Amino acid sequence: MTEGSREISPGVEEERKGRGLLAELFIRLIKEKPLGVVGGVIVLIVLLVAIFANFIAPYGMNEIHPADRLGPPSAQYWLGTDQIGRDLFSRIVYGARISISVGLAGSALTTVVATLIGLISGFFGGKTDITIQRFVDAWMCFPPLLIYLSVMAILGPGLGQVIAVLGITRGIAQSRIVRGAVIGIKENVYVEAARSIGASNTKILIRHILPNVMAPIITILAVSCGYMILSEATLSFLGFGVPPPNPTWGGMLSGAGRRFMYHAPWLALWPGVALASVVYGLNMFGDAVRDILDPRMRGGLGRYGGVKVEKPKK
Amino acid sequence: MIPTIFLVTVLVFALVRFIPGDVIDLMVSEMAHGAGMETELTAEHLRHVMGLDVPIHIQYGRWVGIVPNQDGSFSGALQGDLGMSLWRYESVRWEIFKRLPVSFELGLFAIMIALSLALPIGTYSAIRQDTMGDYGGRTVAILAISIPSFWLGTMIMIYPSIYLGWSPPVKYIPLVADPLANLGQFIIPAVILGMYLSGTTMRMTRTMMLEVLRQDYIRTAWSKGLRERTVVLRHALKNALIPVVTMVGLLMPVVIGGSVVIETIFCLPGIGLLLIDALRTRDYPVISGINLVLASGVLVINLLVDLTYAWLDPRIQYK
Repeated sequence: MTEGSREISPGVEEERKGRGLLAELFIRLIKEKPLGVVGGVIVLIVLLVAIFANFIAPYGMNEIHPADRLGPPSAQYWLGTDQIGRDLFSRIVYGARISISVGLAGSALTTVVATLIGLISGFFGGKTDITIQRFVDAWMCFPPLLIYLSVMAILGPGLGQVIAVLGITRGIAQSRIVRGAVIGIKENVYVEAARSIGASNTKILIRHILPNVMAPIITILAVSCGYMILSEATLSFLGFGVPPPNPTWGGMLSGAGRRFMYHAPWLALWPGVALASVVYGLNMFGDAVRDILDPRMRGGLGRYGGVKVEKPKK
Repeated sequence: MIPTIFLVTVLVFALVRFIPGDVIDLMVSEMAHGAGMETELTAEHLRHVMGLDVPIHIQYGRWVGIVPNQDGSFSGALQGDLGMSLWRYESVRWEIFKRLPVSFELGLFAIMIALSLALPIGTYSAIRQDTMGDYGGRTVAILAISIPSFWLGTMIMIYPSIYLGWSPPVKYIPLVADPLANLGQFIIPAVILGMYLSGTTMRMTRTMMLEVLRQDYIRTAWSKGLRERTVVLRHALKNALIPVVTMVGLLMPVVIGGSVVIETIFCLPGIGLLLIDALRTRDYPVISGINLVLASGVLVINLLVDLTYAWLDPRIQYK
């Protein structure tokens, strides 16, 4: 953990003894961030829905009921049916699988890429750092969606391609955060001590630097997930993400169904509600994790402990 | 900045050169089918037309415009020549130039609306911390960040037309034809495009204002007997804005990317719609042209952000 957080919450420090970073994070989350817990619960529900989609969905994801095309929400079809008679609720439930896979795999890939680039660039410094950073600069000049669309147009649509493109692109941008943390840490005496007893660069990186930059790395993991899900939905909406007939939330809002939405507005409503609530949950959760781990990015009350702004009485 | 520009051109160039071979074959069959000239068009010919049959560094040099073409002339990005569209027999430069005003208007409008909402609300949230107004402002900010723009756009296209018999116009009205109708047409797309920027800026402004408001010089300003308006606007806001400006600058690529989605939903014939068309038809010169133009746009915005610092913080000087 960093110095800053110790100063701010001395009470927590006493309790923290003997606990790992993750356990401490979890406890502080529950104690200090009710909104983050709400977000976490939403995410947990969606995660369970995604895992047990087979048992929750009343129909198959591409099961067609031609007689009940464009049916309004009813007891039989809870959220209505689409233009070829597929149950919307079942498709949204299965859609959670795709969104969660992209969210988890994408943010994991982001974290790995960001950590690798950040560690190398920050630790070795000098020419290596300058070369890598100029590349990152150039990469960050491109609007992310532009990179996603251009690369997806070349690779062709598919789940794996989406995860790779989103994860690598964001990882390159986020490597800045890891690099900054590494630069702050590598001047410490213990790194010098490790070097003086003959530890190799690899050993110093893995045993001494990496554990000390875990806070920003976990932050990247936590705040990237919602972004991944939203980006995948956007790509699928534009027709460059996960191709139909896969039930993606973004794809359900576009394509062939779009013409029928004026007659069946539930087709436009529910996939978006699912998407917005997951993204909301992940944003709240990610913000809470970031606030706890990164003292500089603290928003609002978290930093001041509820101290009001001083203002003279008139 | 020079190495960055160089690397940007390398990246744009590399993107297009990574077209797999089978795509060339696919293009041959697609093009031959479309133009009705099955016999004349071969993969070799297409590679030659696209200049893919020479070594890679010469291809790059020609594309940038520092190595002469087959006929000895220089025509590359430096000369403002981005090549020809594969399908429309129009220069990419002209295609982009035609569409630029629409995207520019949309983006400028979105940024103006977003910031004119975010800065006052964020400031108010901070100076009236933990009041109903603060909670209201924060809720709006969180919603603005979480609601996907393409979903909100779709909802606005559909629900009012069912229940109110009204829907946003989908036929583009040029600014010169009817300025008022044109501006009216842009309001809804601009609000949706600016939504994310607005929410993030609101939260950042609030955080930074809270930070600044507990500084000693703010207490000094109060004890001098200054009015609240002077303390907040002159002493606090100007200092709080420096990190906010950084963040707004960093979000510009997101706004530019978002305009692709918004233009698609509202059928505004800007760069975004051109890009989607080009991607669907695999018009690679157009794709790389748009990439180059937009990345250069981001570079210029970064420069403007740096200049804004100097205005906000007189201690910063560029020599």
